[in-house]
Amino acid sequence: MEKDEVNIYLDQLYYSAEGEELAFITNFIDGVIEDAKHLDKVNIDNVLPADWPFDLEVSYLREDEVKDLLSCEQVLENASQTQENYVKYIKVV
Amino acid sequence: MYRKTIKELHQLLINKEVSPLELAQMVVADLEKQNPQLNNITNYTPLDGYENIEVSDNLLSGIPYVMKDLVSTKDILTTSAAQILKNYKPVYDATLYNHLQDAQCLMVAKANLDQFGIGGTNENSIYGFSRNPYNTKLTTGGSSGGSAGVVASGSVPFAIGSDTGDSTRKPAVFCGIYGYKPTWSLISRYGLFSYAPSFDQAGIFTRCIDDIAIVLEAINGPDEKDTTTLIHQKEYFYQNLEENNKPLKIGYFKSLIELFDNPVVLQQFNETKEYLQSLGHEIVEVDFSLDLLRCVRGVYQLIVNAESSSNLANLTGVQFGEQILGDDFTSSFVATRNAGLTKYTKARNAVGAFALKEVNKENYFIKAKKVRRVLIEATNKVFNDIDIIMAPVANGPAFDPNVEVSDKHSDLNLVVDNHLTLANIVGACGISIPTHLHDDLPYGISFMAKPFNDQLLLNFSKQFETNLLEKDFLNLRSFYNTYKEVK
Repeated sequence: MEKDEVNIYLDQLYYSAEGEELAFITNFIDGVIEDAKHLDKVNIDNVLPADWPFDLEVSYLREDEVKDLLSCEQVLENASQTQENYVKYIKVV
Repeated sequence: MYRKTIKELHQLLINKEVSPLELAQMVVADLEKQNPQLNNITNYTPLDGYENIEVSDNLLSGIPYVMKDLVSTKDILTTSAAQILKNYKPVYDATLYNHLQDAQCLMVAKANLDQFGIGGTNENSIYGFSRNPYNTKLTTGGSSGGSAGVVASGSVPFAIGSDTGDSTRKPAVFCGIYGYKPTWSLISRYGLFSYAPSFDQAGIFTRCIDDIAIVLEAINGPDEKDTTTLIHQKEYFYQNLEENNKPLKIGYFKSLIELFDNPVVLQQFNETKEYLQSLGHEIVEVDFSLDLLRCVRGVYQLIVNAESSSNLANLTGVQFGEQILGDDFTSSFVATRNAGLTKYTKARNAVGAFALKEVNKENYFIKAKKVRRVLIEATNKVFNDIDIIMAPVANGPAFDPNVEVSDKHSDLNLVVDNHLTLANIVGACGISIPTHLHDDLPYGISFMAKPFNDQLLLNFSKQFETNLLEKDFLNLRSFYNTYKEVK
């Protein structure tokens, strides 16, 4: 894979890389693409994708009741910057 | 207190030979003494309130343990071995932690890991890799390396890990202990840092089968916070634990075993088969497509990394985590994530972004999910006729993580190094058990049973363990009873 294409994926993930790190990531993706060639040998005609290991027939609806509520202070206690009960961050637009 | 089981420690507590707080303090002292050499601990838990723990009939009351550092524990540092979470204290508890709290069990420390469970050598950690108690130049394996190390070194009777590919079962045997991966969805994943939800499951490390059953009984059960658990009732694995006394049909994949090339491992495998036959079990060679086994790693990489790239998208440093500010929003996000996560985690996430890209999605991500179904159906077909599938855990013992792997696409690396992941693909339960000591390093066997056959697997493992010790088969009693001191 070309490094330019790898950079597109890194951009999407809000990462960047260059030099040895970019080469490592490129090489890693190439390795998975190589592994994926084995999947072409399997007949998947009329096979549905498996989202989970087995079918989940969950027909359970949780009662709509308020519980385990976190306080504003709790929600914000791991934030680097706060202001008036909000997370403060660099201007987006 | 060194190397005692849960039941042995419980008896000491009941007899008031030691208090829960004293026991926790002794364990912490032992961990602190060993950690400079073993590097299995990321941080220690405050022991506040442990003086008020009352020992009850519950076998887990007052018992110390170590938790993999990716399980949410309110107000207690939980770093996942990632720079971005170096100072993170969760605001809620994981359900499995709550179950252990309810049992008055005492968490004393958090264990080293490959960050978020991403890795198999424990090198993907800001703390460096966990070192194997049998030889500190070698890794414990990963991703739950620290959890394996603390149980192997004798400090605690059990530790909690997780198993997305083989992250409990492989490090367990590399460290000469037991590793259990329950059926997917048996234990709530609420609070287990989400890596790949359709593969993730908490795992258990112990030094005996009884302790697996005791812990599994405590932490399993439906949880409305993880709706995938709602398909079953709570199970009582310890109450129902009994040595299996029925002849079982135990199969092995011929196509897999033929790829192992380590004569020591093959000799051990043959000895283990003979041992199982001596217990009355039938050993059956199973035809399982090598082409399918060659897909295990690809299916894992494509699905797990797609799920992971989505799950780790919340690591931005905005609401939590270490934040680095740039000139604008985008440069701030990039700087924060670049500094907060390793290149290996980035590479894994990049695979996910590649697989999910619209032009690639059908040919990679969806195809992988279809092949996953083929693997599930093929494995279930085997389970129609076979009770348990066995295989050596690995083609060798614990290794030096600094030695580069040659030819990553050979069948030895592609298939043999990844066969345990089949259990995660199909949601099956699996256990790894140490069986041999060769050149002072442990080796072992893996057993897998179909989903929700955990009780059968535990009862079978109990029979396997009891006879192994009583008959001193393979001279293992000395191995089990004289665990290695840290070198």
